[in-house]
This record gives sequence, structure tokens and C-alpha cells, in this order.
Amino acid sequence: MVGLEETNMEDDYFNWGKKGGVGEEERVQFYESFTLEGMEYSLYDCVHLYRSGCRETDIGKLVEIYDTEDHEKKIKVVWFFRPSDIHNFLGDWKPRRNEILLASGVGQGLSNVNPLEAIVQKCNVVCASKDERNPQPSEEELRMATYIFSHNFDVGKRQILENFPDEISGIKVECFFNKRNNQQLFRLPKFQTNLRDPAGPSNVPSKLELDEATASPVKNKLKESMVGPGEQGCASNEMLRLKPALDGNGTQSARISHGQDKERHKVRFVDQPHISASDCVAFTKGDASRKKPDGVAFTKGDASRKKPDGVAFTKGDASRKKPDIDKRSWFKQPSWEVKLQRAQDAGHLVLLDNLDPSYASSEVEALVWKAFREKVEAKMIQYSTFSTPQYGKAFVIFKSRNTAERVISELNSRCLVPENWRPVIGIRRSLKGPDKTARFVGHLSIAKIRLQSQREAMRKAVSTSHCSQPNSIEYDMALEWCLQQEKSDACWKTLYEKQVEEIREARRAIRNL
Amino acid sequence: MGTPEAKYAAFEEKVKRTVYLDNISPQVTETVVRTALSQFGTVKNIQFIRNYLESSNIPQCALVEMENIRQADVIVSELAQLPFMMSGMPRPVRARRAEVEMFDDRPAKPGRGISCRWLEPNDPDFEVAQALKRLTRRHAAEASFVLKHQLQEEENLAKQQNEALQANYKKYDMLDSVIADGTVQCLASHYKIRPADD
Repeated sequence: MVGLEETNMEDDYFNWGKKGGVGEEERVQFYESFTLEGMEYSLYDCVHLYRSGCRETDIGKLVEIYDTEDHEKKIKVVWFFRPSDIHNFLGDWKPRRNEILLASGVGQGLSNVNPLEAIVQKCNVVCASKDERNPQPSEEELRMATYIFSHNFDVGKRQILENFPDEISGIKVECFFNKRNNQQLFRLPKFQTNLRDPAGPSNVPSKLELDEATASPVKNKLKESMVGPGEQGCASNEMLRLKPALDGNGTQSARISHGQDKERHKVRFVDQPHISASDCVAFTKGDASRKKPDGVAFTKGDASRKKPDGVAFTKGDASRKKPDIDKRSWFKQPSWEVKLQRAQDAGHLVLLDNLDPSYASSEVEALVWKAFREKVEAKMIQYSTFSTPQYGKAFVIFKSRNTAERVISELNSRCLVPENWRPVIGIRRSLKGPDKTARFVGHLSIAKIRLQSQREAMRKAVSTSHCSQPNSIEYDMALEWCLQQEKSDACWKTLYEKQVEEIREARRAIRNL
Repeated sequence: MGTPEAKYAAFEEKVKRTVYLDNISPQVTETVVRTALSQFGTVKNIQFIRNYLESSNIPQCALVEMENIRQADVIVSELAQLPFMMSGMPRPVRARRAEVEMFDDRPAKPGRGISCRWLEPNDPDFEVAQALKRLTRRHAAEASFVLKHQLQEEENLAKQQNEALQANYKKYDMLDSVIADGTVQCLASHYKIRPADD
């Protein structure tokens, strides 16, 4: 049941309420309230808005309600962000269970103009900020609120702030805080009525009422675009009535009865049914208990990490068998690298491939012992950026050249198969030594400057490290590198996936597993 | 703590605290890394991963053990958001969380025994095993090919950036010298234009 322009159809479906001012050139008529499907909405109410294709609704505060010349009903909302919406910018801030953030500042994502039909229902949002301009909510209200907010997110600076600015989107911030006692709206949850709360007019100067939300609003989040025109109105967390999300199915008559108390209205939320529109938004609120913030999925950098997918090569080092412990304590062992080099020169070094990457060096040694009855020293090659994830490699140092040769020939002619059914391969590989003079691709320098920079200061500058800021040439170049890295990572990933698939294929032929 | 389980648990904990860096220049030494990362917290240990099998032209990698998990997380997320340069620019250093296989001195996972058997040529699965072996070799060849290709691309990028940089620098240099030796002034008075100060 989408946008009924013919309001004659159901008299109670939509009705304008109190009129507000008239827009410039008298083309637009502002309103302070309206009734949609029997629920009354006023300016500065918080509402749920439907976004097509999303299971979640967005929460916004009505700051303008108007009717255009072509009789299109429009609302302007200032948005609230769920923590999952801005998970890239959350940093350390850990939201509470049903905490959301008010948008503030200037920029994309602050507010939007939407068709009035995008409203699903009201939302009970309570402001828990300790700001002195904010009437502090009672414990009961906090508990009954569907959402609370105590911070705001500046869309321009992309930061979470605790202090509220004096105005948001042109409207005084007091309107965004909780309503004061004398401003409480009392509305009976009547189904078919346009009854307006007598206290209504006193609440908000010019309320715009928006009803209904079946059409999908164009929501302006940080990702999308569109900034609404300057609005007025303070969005306070007024009491929100939960309008049973009925549009058209009439399925649910979950009326929320909200009790009125002197200070605030609590709104109890009941589970909501779908909105009728073809793509139903099925959000359910917990009953009276608050709804958990969905996907507080701020990940410290997980999402934003440009991590390569594990290229895991665990190259095994030629496993050297350690001599017995007590003997070892008698004389100092040369370092592994030295040993490796020596073994390499003497022909004792063998590289084992196709090991399980999770083997530890000791396990490799045990394996060699079991297979060849030879004590060796082994070390798995560390997995680094260029290692294949599904293959483990290890270097094994044998006692003599002959043993090494024998092992290799045996591994070639027969098949050594550990319990995980990965036949071990033995090959000779020569070690590549570290080369400090190797050219490192990607570090640039300017020839002239290099000559001049014998000065201490310049030398220091190069030898330290820093994070590049977006205002320098090097930043752009660094980003090009990042792009290149990402491309390579994608290549590797595809390659590995293909390889895994091939391995799986081949293993299917095994009969006695 | 002597039991293998305890050792392994301690090892896993260490892994969580460790950050894996790569794309490090070969000129970078341990002190540089230490100084660089101590901005983010206390560095407990640094180990460069030796590269035995690939050509010596690939960048270095290192495992840096921090004091707690949070510091490791901070490093990873910071380096993901802003390019971090070490000992030269503009190729940024990458960081990610360490994984168990990155440590070659890791303890064996408790509870796993190693067993194996030999397959003789007359064994029914011998062929399959041989096929698997061939596959391994092929994959290794593929990997090294991709690596070569990647290094080539990186080099191209670097060359390209270098040329752009040199060209820009020459331009600025020329501007500077022209202003410095008064040519600009002469020209300006000749054409009756006032040289702007920027």
C-alpha cells in the first residue's frame, strides 16, 4: 500500500494536522503534525524509516513536514546512526546495548528529505546525555526506551563527540534533547482518530507531521548523497509512539499503549509485523525491552584492513635433528642460519615440501625419524607474504650427504604418506642469502637532495618513520602502492583458491584414505 | 609451565600480541622498526623473517611482539588507515595480525601424533600419491611465476613514480632558480607585469 494520494480512500489513512507556516513563494505548506494510519506524528518525533532492500530501518527525527505544490508530501529528517553504520569511525568507542548516535555537523549524512510514505512508525529514542540543556531521563524511561543516545557523530569531521553543538542542521539543539515536562505530548493510541493532543501545539512551534513509510526513502547516510535543506525543529527524544506497523495488511494491531506520566511518555514497543509493501521491512523490537543495536560491527580495522589473504608458505627449513639435550649443553650451538649455510655447502640440506602447514618443527623431525630412522634437525619455513597457504615446507639437515641423497631418492621412488595423506616431496633447493644491498623497489629519492642532505636533520628525517598525511605528494604515491598491493593480493587469493580446488580434485581419487 | 598444553596456550597468546609487517626495505634494521612501532606501544621483541627461498629482491618481513593485544590491534588498524613509511617513501609498510604458522619455533599442537606409511609402487593409491606430488610441484611453479609477475609490476610502478617525481622536481627547481637569480624580475619589468608573490 504505497503512497495514497487519494486520501478519500481511507479517511483515516492520512490527514494533515496543524498547519505551520508557508514556504517561500507560497509553494510549500508546512505542517506541524499529521496522522498516518491512525497514528499521529508531530514535528520532532523520532521515526523509523524504511529503506528498500534493507531489513533494518533507519531512525530519524522529523524536523520538517511539508506539502509541495504538486501535493507531494515530504518530510525532512535528521538521522541517527547505528554503530554499525559508522563502524569505520568508531575507534575505541564501545556503544551500549541500544545506543545510537545523533548526526551533527555539516556534511553528507546529516539529513534528508524523503517522501512521507517512507515512515514506518514512531520510535522511542531517549537522550541520555549529561548536557545541562537536556532534561535528564528517569531510570524508568531509560529502561523503556527503544534507543538511547548520548553522543553525536559529526558527519563533517567524521568523529564521535560527546558535546552537543548549539544547533544541528539549523535547528536549536534543545529540540533534539528530551522534551521538557510542559511539552509532553499526550496522545492516546487511537486507531482511527485524528485526535490531536491538545498539548500538541504547545510542544513544538511548527510541527510537521509525516506519516507512513512504505515508499523507500532515499536515505542519506555517509555512503549516499543528498543533504536536505535547512530545517528547523529540534529533534528531541520525545516520546514516541509505536505505531503498529500496519500499513495495509492490517495484520497487527499491536497498539502500543503508552502510559503517560508527568515527565515523559514511555513507549512500549511491541513486536512489529511487516510493513505491507512488497519488500517488507521486518524489524522486530523487543517488547518493552530495548532493542539491541544491530551489528555493532565495528571492527578495529578488520573491515578496513587491506590485508592480503594469507599467502602462507610455510617453507620448511631443512630440518636439522638436534643432538641429545645433554650433549647440547656442552658446547654452544651455532645459530640456525650458520648451520643452514654449512649444511648447504656440504650437501646435507633437503627441502621437504607438501607438508601440513600447521606442523611444528619438532613434528617434522618426528616424521623423518619414523620414516627414515634418521635423526635430523628440522625447521619449518615461516609463513610470510609469499608462502602458499596450503603447503608447508621445511628444511631438513641430515647428518651426511649420502643420507640426504638416499632420502631424496626414496621420496621420489616411493611415496611417503603421513596420516593426512599428503605425500612428502624432497628436493634440493639452494638457499638465498640476505642481501642488504638489494634494491628495494618503491623507495624514491631525489638525486639532488640526496647530495645536499648530508646535514644531520635530513638524514634523521629519512631514517625515522612516519605516517603520511593526505596533503603531500607522497600520500598519493603511497596510495598507488596500496592499490598495487591490493591487486597483488587479489591475484594470490585467486591462485590459492584454484590450487585448493585442484588438490581437492586430485584427492578424490584416493581409495584407501 | 611445563605441560604441552600450557606451552601451546602461552604461544597462542603470544601470537595474538604479535604484528606481522611486510614490505619493509632491506635497509631497515631492528632499531628502526623498534623506534617506529614504539609510537604505538611497548615493543617486546622483533624478529625478521629470513627469506630463504625467494630471490633477494623481495621486501623484508618482520614479526613484532607487542605488550598486549590492544597495542597490536591499534597498529594494525592505524596502518590500515594511513600509509606508514619506514626509512624512505613512498612505499608503505603493511601490517596484519600474526598467525601461528609464522613462527618457526612454535611448539607442537598438543594431542597430535605423527604417523606415516610408505606406499610401494604396487599399492593401489600409489598413482594418486604420485599425482599429488606432481601437483605440488606444479603449484610451486605457478606461485613463483605469479611472484615474478608481481615483482615486475611493482618495479614498473616504482619506475613510473620515480619519473613523475623527477620531472616535478625539475620543474620546481627551475622555478626556484629563475626566481632566485632575478630573471623573473627582469622579465616582469620588461613586460610591465608585477610578479605576484606566490
